[in-house]
Amino acid sequence: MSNLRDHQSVVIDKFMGLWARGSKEETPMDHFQDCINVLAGTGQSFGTRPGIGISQDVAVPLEDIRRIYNYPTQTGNTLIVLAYDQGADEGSIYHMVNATTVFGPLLTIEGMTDFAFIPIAGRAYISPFSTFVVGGLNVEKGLEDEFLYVYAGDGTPARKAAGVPLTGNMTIANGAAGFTDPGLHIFAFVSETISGFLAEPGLMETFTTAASSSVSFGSVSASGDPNVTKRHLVATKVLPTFNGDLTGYQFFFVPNATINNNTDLFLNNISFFDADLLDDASHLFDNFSEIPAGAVLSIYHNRLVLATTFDDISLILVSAQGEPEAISEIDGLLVYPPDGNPVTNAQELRDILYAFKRSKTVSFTDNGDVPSSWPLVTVDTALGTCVHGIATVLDSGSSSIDYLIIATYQGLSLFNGRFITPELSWKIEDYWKALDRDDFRYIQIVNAPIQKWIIMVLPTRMVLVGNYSLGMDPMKIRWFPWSFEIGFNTVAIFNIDEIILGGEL
Amino acid sequence: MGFNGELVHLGVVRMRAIGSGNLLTDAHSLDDASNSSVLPDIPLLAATNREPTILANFIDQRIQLEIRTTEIDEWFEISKIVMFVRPIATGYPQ
Amino acid sequence: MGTYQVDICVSVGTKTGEWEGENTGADAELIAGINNQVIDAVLLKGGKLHIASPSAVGTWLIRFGFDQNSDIISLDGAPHISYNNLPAGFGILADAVLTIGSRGSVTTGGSSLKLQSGPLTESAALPFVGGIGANGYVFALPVFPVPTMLDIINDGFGIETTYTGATDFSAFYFARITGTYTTFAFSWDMSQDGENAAVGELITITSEFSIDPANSMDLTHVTLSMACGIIVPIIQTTDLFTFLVPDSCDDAGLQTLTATGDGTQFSGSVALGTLTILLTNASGIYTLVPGKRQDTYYSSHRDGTTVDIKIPDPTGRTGFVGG
Repeated sequence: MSNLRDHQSVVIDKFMGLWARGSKEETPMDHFQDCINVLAGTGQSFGTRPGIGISQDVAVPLEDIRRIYNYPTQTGNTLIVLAYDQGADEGSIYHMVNATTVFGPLLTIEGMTDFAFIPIAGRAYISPFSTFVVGGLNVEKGLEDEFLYVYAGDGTPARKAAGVPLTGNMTIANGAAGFTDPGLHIFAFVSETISGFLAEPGLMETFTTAASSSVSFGSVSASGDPNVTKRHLVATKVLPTFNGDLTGYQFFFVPNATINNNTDLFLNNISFFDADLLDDASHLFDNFSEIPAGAVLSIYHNRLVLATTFDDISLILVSAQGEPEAISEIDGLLVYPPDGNPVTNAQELRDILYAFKRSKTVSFTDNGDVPSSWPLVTVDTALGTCVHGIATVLDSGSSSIDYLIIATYQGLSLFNGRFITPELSWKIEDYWKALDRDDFRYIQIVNAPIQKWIIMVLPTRMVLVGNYSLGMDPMKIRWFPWSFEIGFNTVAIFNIDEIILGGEL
Repeated sequence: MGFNGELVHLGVVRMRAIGSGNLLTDAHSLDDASNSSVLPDIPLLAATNREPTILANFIDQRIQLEIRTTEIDEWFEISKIVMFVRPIATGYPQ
Repeated sequence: MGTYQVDICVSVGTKTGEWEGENTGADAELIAGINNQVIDAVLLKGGKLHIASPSAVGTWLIRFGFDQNSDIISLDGAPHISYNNLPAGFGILADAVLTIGSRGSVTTGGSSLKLQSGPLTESAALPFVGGIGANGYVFALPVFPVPTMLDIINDGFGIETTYTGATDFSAFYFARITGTYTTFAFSWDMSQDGENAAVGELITITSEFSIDPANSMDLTHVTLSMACGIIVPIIQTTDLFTFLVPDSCDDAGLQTLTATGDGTQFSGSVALGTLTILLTNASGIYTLVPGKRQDTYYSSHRDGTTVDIKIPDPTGRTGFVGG
C-alpha cells in the first residue's frame, strides 16, 4: 500500500456494477452506490455505455413501438413488430425483414396493446392481448372476440388460424368399374389450409355403394377461405344401421382421394375397401374452428400452447402434436387451478411444460396421451412471473437450454425446475423491489450469450444490463442501469448478437 | 484500512483512465446537500502512459467519489481509482 | 423608460504598470478602489487606485470586467440586480456615458478612458464630455456601433494613463456607466404546454405597438434568433411575429430567444425569454452499436433524418471511504 504525504491509498481496481442493497454506506468499495449509462469494459474496468443508432433506413420509419420479437423465417432472421397508435387505440403488426424492407401492416386490431407470438415452421402465430383491470388487479388476457392469427412470412396479411368446414350439398353416384365394401357409408370432405390445418368434415352425405363400382362426387364446394389448398375425402366404414346422425359415426381419411386445389368441383372414380380406412378423421369434429386469442403462446413437444383467453384466464389450450392449429375443445385443455389470477407464461424446460402465474408455478408432463390427462405438479406457491418475464436466448426466440432466467417479484432468478436462491439480482434487491409490480407486464428480457449480457427493459422504461462475463452468479454478475432520451418498451436480438430496442416517447 | 467515524481527509485522487473529453469528478459526503466538492477535471486521452492525479482536499467522515462526463461524443474507460486518505480528527466538534 | 447605472466591477483584466489600491496591488483592492462611489473623496490613497510609483514614465493600462450573474446594475435607483435578471425586452438607448472620478496631476490631459470591445481589445479613447463634481470626468460611450448592455457586461472598460514626468500622478475611482433604458412590451405564446417546444411548432410573438408605440416593441424592425437555428418569419407586422421552430433546433434544449433591433426603434439585442426545445417524437426501432459515442435518434420530422444526442451523463459513484 503506497503512501502519499502520510495518506494511505484506497485502491479500486474492480468495478462490479451497481449495489442497491441496504443503506448507501453499505456499498462495497468495488461496487457503485449509484451509476447510470456505464458498462463493464474489458476485464474489470468500466466505462461509457455504447450508443444507439437507428435500425430502419427508410423515409418513414415505424413509430410508437410496443413489442418486438425475433422472427426466424425460412429465408432469414427477421423481426415482427407491434406499433400502437394511442390516439386511435389500434395496434398494428409489421414484419421488418431488414433495415429497408417492412411488410405490413399485417394485422390491425382495435385495443391490441400487446401480442403473444410463436414462430413455427417459418410461420408466425400471433395472439392479440391487452391489459384489463379485474377486481383492482391488472390482468393480461386475450382480446374479447379475437382469435389466434397466422402469418405466412411473405408479406400477405395475417389470417385467422384454424378454419370452418366446407358447406354445401354434394352429389354422389357410382363411378366407373371399381371396388368398395357395398353398403351405406357417410361421405364428407375435409379442407386443408396452406398451413396444414384440417377443418372438421363438411358436405356430409350418405350413399350406398356397390361392390364393383367406384364412387364419384360432384358439386364439391370450394372453400370460401382462399387459404384452402386441398380437400380430402373422408368416409365411414359400412354402417349396418343408421340413426340419422351424420356426425355420430367414426370417419376415416380415404387413401388417394384428395382434390389438390380449391377450385375443382368433382372427384371421380374413388375405390377403397373398409380395411383401407385406417387414418381417423373424427377427432377433427372436436377442434376449434377459430381459436380464441390468449396472452401466452409457447411450444411444448411440438404442440402449440396458448393460455389466458378473455373468458378463461386459467385455461391452457394445447394443440395436437405437429398440428399447431388443431386444438381439441374436449381434450386439448389444461386447467391451471383457478385462483383469480391469470396464467402469465408457459415454457418448456427439460421435457416438462412449466406454467406460471404472477406468484405461482406449476408443471405438466406429457404422458403420451391427450393433454387433458397430463398430471399437474405444483412447483412453487410463491414465485411466478409476468407475460414477458422469461428471457429469450440469442435470436432463437426460445428460452435457455438448461435453465430459464425469470423475472419474479423477488428478483431476477435462475430456474432449473425450481427457483434458485439467492436470485441473480441479489445485489440490487432494493432497486428491483422499487419497481412497480403492477407494471411488471412491461418487463422483457433477452440473454445475449455472445456479449454475456442479460438485457431487460423495465417498467420504468429504462434498460438494465447484467454483465455475466465473470460468471452467471449473483455475486459475480455486474448490473448497470441505462437511460435514454425516450422510453423503451421492448428488446430483442437480431442476427445473433445485434441488440434491438423499440420505444415510444 | 479501518475507520471508526474519524474525519478523513481525501488528499489526492489518481486514476487510470482513457477516453475523450473531460472527466468531471466530485467528492461527496453521505449527505450531498451539506458537504460536496467539485474536484478538478481530468482531460482524457485515448491512449496515455500517465495516470492523472488531482488534488481533492476534501474532509468528511464518509467520502464518495463521483465520476462522469457531460458532453456529446465524450467517453471514458477507467480501470483503476486510487483515493489517498488519512484520518485527521476524531470527529466533528460536539 | 428609466435610468440605469452599472457601477460594480467584479474582475480585473490585464494591466501594465504597478497599480495599487488603498494599500496593495491586490485585485480586491483595485476593484474596491474603482467601485468607490464617493465622488469627492479627499484622501488620494483612500478608496482609489493609482500607479504605485508616481515617477514611472510611460503609458499604463488597466482593464476591469463585469459579469452576467453578479448584482451590478441598478435600475432607477433600486437595489442592484444582475444582467440575467434584467426584464425581458430591456434595451439601452444611445445615451450611455462612462463616468470616472480622477484626482491628481494627470487628469484629462494625460489620461483616457477606453471601452472594451472584447476582453483584450479597447476602443479608441472615449470623448470627454464634461466634468461632474470636483473630480469627476464624464466620457461618452461610442455612438456607433452602439453597444448593447450585453456588450458592456461582456467587455468591460479600461483606463489608460500616460506619465511624462517624474511628478505625474493620478488616481481613479467612481467608475460607472449610466444611461437611459427602455423596456419594450411584448408577449409570446406557444401551442404546446409550458415552455417546451418542438421542431415545427408555431411560436407567436405579439406586441401592442399600434396602440402604445412608446412602450411596445415594433416587431417589423426586429430580427429574431436562437443559437440553434435561423428563424424565418411567417408573419411579421408591427404587432405580430410568427415563426416555426427550425429543424436544426431538434432537441436543442434551453434556448434564449433574442430580438435584434435595426436601429429604428432600438439597436442591439434584447432577450425575449427562453424556451426549451425537446426531441418530440423519436419513437422507433433502435440498435445498440458497440463503440458508438453518442445516441442517434429519428428526427421528429419522421422523414428519415436523424439527430445525434449525447449519452445522458455516464456517471459512477463509488462506495464510501471512512466510517
